[in-house]
Amino acid sequence: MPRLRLEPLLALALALTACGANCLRDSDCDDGRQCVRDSCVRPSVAEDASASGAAGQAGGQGMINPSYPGMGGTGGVGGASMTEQGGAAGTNGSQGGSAGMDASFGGSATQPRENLDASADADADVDAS
Amino acid sequence: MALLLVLGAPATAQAQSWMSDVQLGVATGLEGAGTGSGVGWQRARTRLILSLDLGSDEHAQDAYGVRTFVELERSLSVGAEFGYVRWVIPELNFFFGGVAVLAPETLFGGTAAANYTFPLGKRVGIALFTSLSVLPLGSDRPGDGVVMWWLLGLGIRGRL
Repeated sequence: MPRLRLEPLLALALALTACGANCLRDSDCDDGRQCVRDSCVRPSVAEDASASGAAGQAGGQGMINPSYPGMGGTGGVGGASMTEQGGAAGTNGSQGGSAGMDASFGGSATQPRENLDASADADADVDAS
Repeated sequence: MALLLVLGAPATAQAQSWMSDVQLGVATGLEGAGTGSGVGWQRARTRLILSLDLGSDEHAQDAYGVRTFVELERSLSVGAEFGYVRWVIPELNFFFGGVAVLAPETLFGGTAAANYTFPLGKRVGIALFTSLSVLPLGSDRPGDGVVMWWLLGLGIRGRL
């Protein structure tokens, strides 16, 4: 009887543990959170993220990296900025893609508050143009 | 008169008996879903599966099956499968049907499974099974993505 080789199965299990998605279903998340792009987020952030994502794709921009609570000391501030800019992105076509990129900078835990405001001003310029 | 009596007499009906198999198993595997930026994978939740296959001895190769399952990890959820069972050989059958997670969130889709039984006696056996499910509907999907399961399981099977 041939011996069953377990190494491939162990490697697969390790890979899934190390690289597996944080969530794939809403029920993978705690109560009151949704699974968006394999991360658990609050529903309001999820809606903004999907609106920004649609605009970002229309503008040919890269991925948006929404900020999640608990990722850094200023995560809450980043999230608020993301919400405002995400809304603009959702209604602004290709320019929205640019706004989406700014939103990801706003989500950075290391970004000072002054720079967030500057980013918001820059967005206003983009929207005006 | 004699002819009428012969024709009117009730014929002996051939008894049709039902065969029912019960199986209790545990399964896990891979769960995948579209995340909007590709397909994400994780280990599927371990689940307990209780199944009942019911068929007639006149059509021993065909049966209908119901499988109820409880996902044990993360949040507890309950689901069921219903479908057609086709026996290829006495130890091997294939199942084709619908699958649904019913509570607390919902998922709906289709599934196909293979089940091989290692006999331990006349009525009992150890079952090794695998299934592939695709669930494109329901509230528990990530956005508009499709959830997929590939499961491998082990159980005990008995004929009632």
